[in-house]
Amino acid sequence: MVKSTTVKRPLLKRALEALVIFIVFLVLAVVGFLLFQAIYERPPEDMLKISDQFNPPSSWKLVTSKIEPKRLQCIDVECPSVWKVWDTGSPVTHTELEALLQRSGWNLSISGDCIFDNPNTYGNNNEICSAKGDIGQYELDISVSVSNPAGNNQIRLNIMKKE
Amino acid sequence: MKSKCVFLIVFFLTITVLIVNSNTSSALSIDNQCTIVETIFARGSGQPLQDREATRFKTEIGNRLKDESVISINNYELGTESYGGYRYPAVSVNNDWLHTNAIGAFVSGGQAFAYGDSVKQGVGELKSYLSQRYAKCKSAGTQYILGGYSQGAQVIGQAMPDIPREIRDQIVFVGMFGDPKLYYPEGEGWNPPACQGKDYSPWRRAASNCKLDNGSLGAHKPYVPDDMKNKTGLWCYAHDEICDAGAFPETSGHETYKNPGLAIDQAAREAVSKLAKNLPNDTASQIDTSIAKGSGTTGIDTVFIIDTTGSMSNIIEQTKTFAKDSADKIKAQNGRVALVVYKDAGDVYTAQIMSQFDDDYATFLSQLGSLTASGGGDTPEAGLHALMTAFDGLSWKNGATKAAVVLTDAPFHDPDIVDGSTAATVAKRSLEIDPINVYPIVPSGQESFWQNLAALTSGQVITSNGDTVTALTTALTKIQNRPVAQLKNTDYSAAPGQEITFDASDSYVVDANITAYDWDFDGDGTFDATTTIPIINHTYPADFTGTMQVRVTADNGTIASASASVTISSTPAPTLPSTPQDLTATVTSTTDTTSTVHVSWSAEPDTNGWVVTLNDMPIGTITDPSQTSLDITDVERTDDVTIGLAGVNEAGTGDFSTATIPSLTASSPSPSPSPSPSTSPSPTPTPDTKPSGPDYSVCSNLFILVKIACQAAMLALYLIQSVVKLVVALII
Repeated sequence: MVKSTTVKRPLLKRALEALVIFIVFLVLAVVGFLLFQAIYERPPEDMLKISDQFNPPSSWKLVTSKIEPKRLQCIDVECPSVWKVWDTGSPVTHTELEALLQRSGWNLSISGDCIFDNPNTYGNNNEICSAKGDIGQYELDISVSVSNPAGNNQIRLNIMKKE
Repeated sequence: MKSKCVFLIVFFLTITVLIVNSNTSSALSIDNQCTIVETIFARGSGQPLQDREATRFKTEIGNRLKDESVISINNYELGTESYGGYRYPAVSVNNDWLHTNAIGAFVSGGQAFAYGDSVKQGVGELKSYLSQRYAKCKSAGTQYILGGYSQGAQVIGQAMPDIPREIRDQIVFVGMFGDPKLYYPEGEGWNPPACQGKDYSPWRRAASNCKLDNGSLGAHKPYVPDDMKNKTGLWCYAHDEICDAGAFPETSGHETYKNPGLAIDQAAREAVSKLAKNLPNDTASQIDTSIAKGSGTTGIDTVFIIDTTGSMSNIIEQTKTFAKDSADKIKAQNGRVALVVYKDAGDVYTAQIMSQFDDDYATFLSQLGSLTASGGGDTPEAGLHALMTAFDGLSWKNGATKAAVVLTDAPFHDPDIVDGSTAATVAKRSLEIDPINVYPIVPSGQESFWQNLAALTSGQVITSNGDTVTALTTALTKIQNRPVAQLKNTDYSAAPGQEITFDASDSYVVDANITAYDWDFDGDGTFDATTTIPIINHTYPADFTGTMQVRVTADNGTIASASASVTISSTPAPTLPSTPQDLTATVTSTTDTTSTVHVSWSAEPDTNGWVVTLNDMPIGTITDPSQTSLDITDVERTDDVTIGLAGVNEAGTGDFSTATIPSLTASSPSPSPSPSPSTSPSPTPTPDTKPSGPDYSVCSNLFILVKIACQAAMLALYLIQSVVKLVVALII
């Protein structure tokens, strides 16, 4: 008759093994997650292509350029999105905006006459006209603004994924 | 020597001219003309200046000033310029793969690291800008409207106690949207008063649920100074983990404050209404304080449910004509449409969704255009099954008012032979969803059959008399002109016998008056009480889980309803632990400016553990309820130190007792306070049963240690991240 016996490993050793396995899994999970994020969190090419279509005159000065990549979770800001602001020197006219849109290949209708007629409204970025519309899966929003008293005249390009 | 002096004079003159020139070429906002009203907005994390929330805020307020030659306005956004050496950067919390700014904000309650520094910059800029503008425009009597979104709301809230009272008196309204430091005391505890519709904070405008008390970064306590309570509005929508610490991790609700008709628009209306009250009549009359259609909703969801059996051919053709002509009208009210068709059991289909809700009507119109009538031949049809298909199969928008327009010339099976649903179960499902009001359009002779279902869902029957286009126009007009019914809560809970206050006072109707409120406390479709005022108290005698509804009737012949979930449970509610008694804090040793402090207190029977704070910052928890003392080392004593202690049990955290250790630089020479019942600033730590004070300060050695540890951890994570980036770069 063969008597079976069970050899029990010491508790401490088993606990250490479990801890090592846990740490290895944890490190792998963290590295895997970071790799996934690195690959996932990029600005989409098609969005950047649309952004590049906007071709402002060389005299305009780019003052803000924020490109938000795709993210698993976005807080407060739209993502993916492009947000670019140019100082235009003088206020952009309706004709100039029309020409700009045409050059960019975008068939967007313009709201507003691009004339500032609220002398009792003070502060920066008073919108005088805008053009909005969809290009593929993105929303475009171009806004022309002036300051009162006269100061910065700006144009803003915002591209973001449609909801 | 002489030439050196000449050079220096020329040099300084040149610099002066350059400075003067640079100032004149770019005028500062502080120098703008003084106006009747001024808006100041603080943006959210990572947002550029003039992002959607900021723009919506100033535009909505500006649009309500009808004659700008009478009412002047100045708009300023924090971060535009530097004031007092501060400029609000609104640092991003999506700053890198690891969201280190978000982690820093979370571990410090929004008070330290890059996020906390950003908030401090915002607070400094706001205080300095406001002081300077107030000094400049005091005689003009300028009134201020403040708004803040997310991190910006924290900035505004954090600055408020330090803004001098005379300036605060000139603030007419403060709008806070998605505040990570939200505080609703009525939401605290196991069975909070908000769940019985009681004790709402004056600043409560929207809450994701009745148990909402703190934001994701804790809470400002008190939330606002007493004089600002009735001038502040706080909005926290469902699905916003930023302002709702208990929310499932998602931020979809956080992005909606700017949407038409929602928080920012509501705040703008409230702000200008308060402004109008402070202005002379002729000026106030130039302010539009009217409520816009659809305010407080995310739009109107309307499903057209069409019976496509053979006899409906003419009605379908007329519906196509109507839909083409009405699409723009529906769109203008932020409306969405969907299409469901139905026949009867045994036909080619019983009910099916042809197009989901969509802002773009292309699919709806094309599917409608392809409809033809066929089959049938007998009545009734599967109307109830079609309604259930629409209710359960469509993606109804949260916060939208909802309607189902049924086009048929036949009655329905009750119970339905396809899915067994009855008029009662359809009505119940309609309530559970929000509710969805049913508007049947039927030929004369059918009204009485559909009347009960319409009434059960707070809809209305419309008789077509062969003219479907007119009937559909009537239905749409009723849907668009009906009141917007709103309850303060979306959920209520209480114990049997405990009174609940249902409050529908946010309900409104445009261009008409509300004449009655009908209350159905158990959602069975029978209205149990009718009032002419929007508030009613009700006590449930026994356990109940279900939905209640209020139906609002207007004098323009329209009705609408709102519903909320109700849970009445006899499970005894645990109470919050008692406030710790006999709290004493004694300095046992001191080296330079740091001390070791021995803290002791009495045990409490209703406590499962303790939470300890140093200057309102949690520094640890004690899980052993029998422990009644501890030593805190490395307590920095350059300022007064407040030690707080509260009991914790399954109901939550009780009120704090506090004891104050004076700073070593205080007038008292004794570094070791001896116990005595006197109050601060005595050297004796004084038990105090007040709730913890504002958690604005970050000043303890222990906290600095935690900060350093966190920074080290972040550095390590950055290193890992950099390595991974390198690997990815090599792979790609």
